[in-house]
Amino acid sequence: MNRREFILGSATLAAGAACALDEKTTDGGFAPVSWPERGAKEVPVLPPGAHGEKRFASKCVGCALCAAVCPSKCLRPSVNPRRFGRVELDYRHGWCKPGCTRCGEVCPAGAIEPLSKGEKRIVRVGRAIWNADLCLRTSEGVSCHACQKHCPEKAVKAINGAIVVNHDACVGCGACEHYCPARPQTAIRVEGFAVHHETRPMPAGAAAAKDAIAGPGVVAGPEWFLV
Amino acid sequence: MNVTLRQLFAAAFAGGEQSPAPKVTVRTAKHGERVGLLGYGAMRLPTLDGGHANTWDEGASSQGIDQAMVNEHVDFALEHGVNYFDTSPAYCRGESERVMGEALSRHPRDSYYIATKLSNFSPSQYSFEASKKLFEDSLRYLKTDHIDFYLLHAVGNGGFETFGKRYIENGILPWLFEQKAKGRIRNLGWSYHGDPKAVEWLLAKHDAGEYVWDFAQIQMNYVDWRHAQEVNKRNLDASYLYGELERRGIPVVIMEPLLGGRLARHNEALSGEFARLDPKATQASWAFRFCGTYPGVLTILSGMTHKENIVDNVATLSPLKPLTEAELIGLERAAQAYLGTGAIPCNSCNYCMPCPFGLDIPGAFEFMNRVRDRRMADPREIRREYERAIPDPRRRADRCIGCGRCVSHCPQTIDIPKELDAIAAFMEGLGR
Repeated sequence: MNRREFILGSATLAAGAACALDEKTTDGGFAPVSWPERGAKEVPVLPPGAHGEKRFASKCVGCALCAAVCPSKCLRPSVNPRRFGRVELDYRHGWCKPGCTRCGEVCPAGAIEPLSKGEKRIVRVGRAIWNADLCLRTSEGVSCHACQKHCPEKAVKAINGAIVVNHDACVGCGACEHYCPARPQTAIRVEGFAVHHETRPMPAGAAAAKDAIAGPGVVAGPEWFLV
Repeated sequence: MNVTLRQLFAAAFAGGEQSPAPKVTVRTAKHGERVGLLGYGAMRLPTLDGGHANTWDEGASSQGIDQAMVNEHVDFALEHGVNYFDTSPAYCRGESERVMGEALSRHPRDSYYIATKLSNFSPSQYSFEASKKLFEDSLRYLKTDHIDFYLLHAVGNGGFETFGKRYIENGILPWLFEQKAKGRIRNLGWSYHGDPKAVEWLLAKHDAGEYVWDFAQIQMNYVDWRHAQEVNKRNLDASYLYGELERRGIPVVIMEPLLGGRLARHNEALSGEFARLDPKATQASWAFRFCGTYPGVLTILSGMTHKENIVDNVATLSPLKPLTEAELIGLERAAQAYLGTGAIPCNSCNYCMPCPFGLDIPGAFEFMNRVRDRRMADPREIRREYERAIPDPRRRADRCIGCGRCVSHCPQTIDIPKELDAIAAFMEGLGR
C-alpha cells in the first residue's frame, strides 16, 4: 500500500466515523475498531539499555525473556526477516512506560543493559514524527488531543492546529503512537535511532514556557504517568 | 391476595396451576385508561446471546433480539396486568418498535397500551416532515392505527436550544395536537432529562391552556427524590418535578426507578440499610414500592431484560404495599449511603453509543461503579475485572481522545471524557 492509499484509506475511515455519528438516530452499538498497520520501520525501535542497533544485534540471543516479562506487551519478537527473532518495540499493543525497567532486569545476555528508572527516563530510543495528512485534526477537524494527553515527557503539544514535537524532550516511548486514533496508519509514529542517546538537559523554566506557548484549552500532560 | 415470589416463579417457569393469576395494582390515566402500575420498558430487550439489546456488537442486526423471548415476556406481562408498553424509534438500535409490534399484535389491541416517542437523537430528524415520518413509521412498526401515549422524547437533553429546534421551531406541536383531536394519539406528554428550562416552558404552556399535557415521564427513585442535584447540578430533584406535576393533576410515568439496574444490583451500602428494614425483601422491591407509594404515579417503567425481573416486579406490585413512614426514612438513609459510594450516574442507556472511536463508554462506567460498590482494593482483582468488562483494549477508557461528541447525548449530563480520563488514570495508578 503506498502513501496515497494510506491517506485515502484514513480519510474514508475518519469520514465514515464522523458520518456514523452525525446520522446517529438510535441508541447503542459499537463502532468498528481496527489495529493500525504495522508499517515498515527502517530502523527498529529498541528498548532503553540496548544502546543501538549494532550493539544489540551482536548481543541478543533471541530468548525473548524480555518480551515475556514486558508488562505493556510492547516488546515483541520482530517479524522483519533481517532481524527475525530479535525483539523490538511495537507500539500498536502498548507503549514503553517510564517507570518500568523489567526487560533490562531479566536480559541474560547483556543485550539490554539494566538501567535505573532515572537513567531510563533520559534515554532517547527514537523520536515521534507527526504526519499532518493523516491527522484527524487536519483531515476531519476533530479536536483530538490523544498524543498530547498521553505524552509522559510533555514533548508533544497541539499548537494552532498543528502537533509540534519537541525533539529534545521526546524519548520515543510510543505513548503518542499507541493512542493515536488515525487508521489505517497512525498520524504520529516513532522512528527508531540507530544509536541511542540522551535527552538534552532542559533549561530551567522551559517547561513553563512551553505551557505558555500552548495557550488555553490545551490539556496538561497527566502527572500520573510518571510512576 | 398475597403472592409469594415462589408461587409466581412456579407459575412462570413450571407451568404450574395458578388461579387466578395475580394482577398488579391498577391506576387510572386522564381519559380513564386502566393502567397497571408496572410498565414494560422496551429499551433493554433480551438478545439471543443473553445480553440486552443496546450493547450488541458491530455487524449484528435485528436477529440480535430474541423475539421468542420478548413474546413470552409480553404474554406473561399481559396475564399479570402489566399492560403499558413503552418503546421508542431510537431504542435497541432502532429495532425495539418493530419487535414490540410483532409481540403485541398477537393480542387484541384493546388489551394493552402503547407508549412511543418523537425521538430527538439526530438533527436530521428535526424537520417537520421528518418528525411526521417518525410518527407514521411508529404506527407502521407497531401495527396499529393509534398510539395511546405519545411522548416528546427527552425534552431538555442537549440544552434548551436543542429543545427549541426539535419541538418548537419546526411547528410540530400543533400537528401533534391535531393528531390527538383525530384520535390517532390518545394521550400526549413528554419525557424529561436535562435542561430545567424545557420543563418550565412546557408547564407554563400547560398552565396557559395552550398545550395541555395528559401525562409526563420523569426520572424518579429514592436517590433522585432529594439528591438529584447533588449528583449533578443541572438536574432537578424528583420531589420537585413530581410535586409540580401532581399539583396540576398530570399523571406521572416513572422511568429509571432502579437507575438502570444500579439500585437492584448487589450493593453493600444499600444492603446494610435494607437488611434493617426487612431482611426478606429483594433490593429491587424497595425501588418499586417507593415510586408506587405516590398516588400521582400512573405506572413505573422497568426495562426488564430477563423474565425473572418481570416475575420479581409483578410479585412486588401485586398488590402494592405502600411504604410506611419508617420505611421512607430508611430509604432516605439508603440513598445517602449510596451517594457515599461516589457512583458515576450512568444508567447504561447507551444513548452515547456508538462512540465514533469505538469505546465502550457504559462498560467503563459500569466497571468503575462495580469497583466502588464492592470496595475492591486488590489491583490484580481490579485489572481482571477490567479485562472482563471490556475485553478489547481498543475499547477501554484510555483510548478516549476527548472529542466530546457523546456529551450532548447523555440524559444524565455526565462529563463523559472527564470521567473516562479519571478511569484511565485510576487504572494507570494501579501500576503493573
